[in-house]
Amino acid sequence: MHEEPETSFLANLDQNIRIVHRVCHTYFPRDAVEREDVFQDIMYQLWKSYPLFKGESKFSTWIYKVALNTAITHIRRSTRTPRYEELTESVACAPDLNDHMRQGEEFHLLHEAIAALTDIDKAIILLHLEDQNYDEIASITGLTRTNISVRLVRIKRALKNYLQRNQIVRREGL
Amino acid sequence: MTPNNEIENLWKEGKAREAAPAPMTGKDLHAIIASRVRKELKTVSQFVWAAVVYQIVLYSFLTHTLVRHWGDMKTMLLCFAAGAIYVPLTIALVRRVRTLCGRSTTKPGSPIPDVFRQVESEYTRLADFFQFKKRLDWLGVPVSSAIIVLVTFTLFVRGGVEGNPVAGLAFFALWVGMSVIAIRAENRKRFISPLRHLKEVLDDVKSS
Repeated sequence: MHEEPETSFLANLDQNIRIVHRVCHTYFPRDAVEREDVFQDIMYQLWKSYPLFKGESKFSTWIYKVALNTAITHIRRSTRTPRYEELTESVACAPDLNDHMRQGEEFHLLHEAIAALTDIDKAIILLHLEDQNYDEIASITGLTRTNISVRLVRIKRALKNYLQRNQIVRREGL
Repeated sequence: MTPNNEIENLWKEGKAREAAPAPMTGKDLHAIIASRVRKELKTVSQFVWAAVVYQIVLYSFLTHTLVRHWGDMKTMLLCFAAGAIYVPLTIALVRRVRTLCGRSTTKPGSPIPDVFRQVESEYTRLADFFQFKKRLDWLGVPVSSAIIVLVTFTLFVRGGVEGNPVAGLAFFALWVGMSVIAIRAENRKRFISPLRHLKEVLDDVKSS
């Protein structure tokens, strides 16, 4: 491993390491072992791809691309069966709400709702919430701007419904 | 909190409460790279082993028979003929496995693909190999089972297959059945489930 690329890689990575953690949490919210595994996979892919990074896009955009590609295709290497829950189904099977009776409960619920989205919708909402603009989201996902805009409306509506239903359930539970 | 940006506000509030992640040191990076290289090699070797294990069993069997019955022209011819039929299949399989496992997301000079293209290329690569493997299994399993039955009966059963057609057929069916069960389990784990997942992602993108 050469010293110079390693130093510049680590310096760039240091400012963006949260991106990798966020992608891992979004795609593997419940399984810490799988999350750690995909985190290491992403770091390895980033390191291998780093010589190709020419600065044509922002470093954060490049990290998102590598991290999302790795996270979405990681599942096929796992021996575990991936979860394919629809949002409506996961509302019915929502986790025990007593677990959420703490500060940041809504944030936790938001993660639960995002976890129930399809892989592409997860990527879109994550990039949107992380302040990536439509052009950046389009270049990372390969979708068109129009498509992203339509999907975002649908995703946000689904997430709001999930939060509202769970908040009602919580209030009734109390 | 306004209803229009409730999600965005929730996300920002949550992020503000999160602890800062530990920075990645050179030592951490070295450890991760070493561990991933080991894992990659292990995955490839497991895959190669799973793909060629049946062929290894067959070749070992043929070699053992050939050495033990050297001089017996009928057995020798049978072994050589079996090898001649099976070697091209093994070469084709090893070439395909090498293409499948040797891929890299970082081909020199090519940019990082977007998520859609990455998933599409993974799907195509895996589906191509699976298609090839299915064809090979359809051909290879009956051929190798027939070779094993023929050689075993010629050597150890008086009258050979010609004198015991029912037993030969039953042994052949048993061998094919066991192979099919093993191949189906392997295919489900390594091909069908991953392909289903990738197809769902692709369909999701294409539907919009």
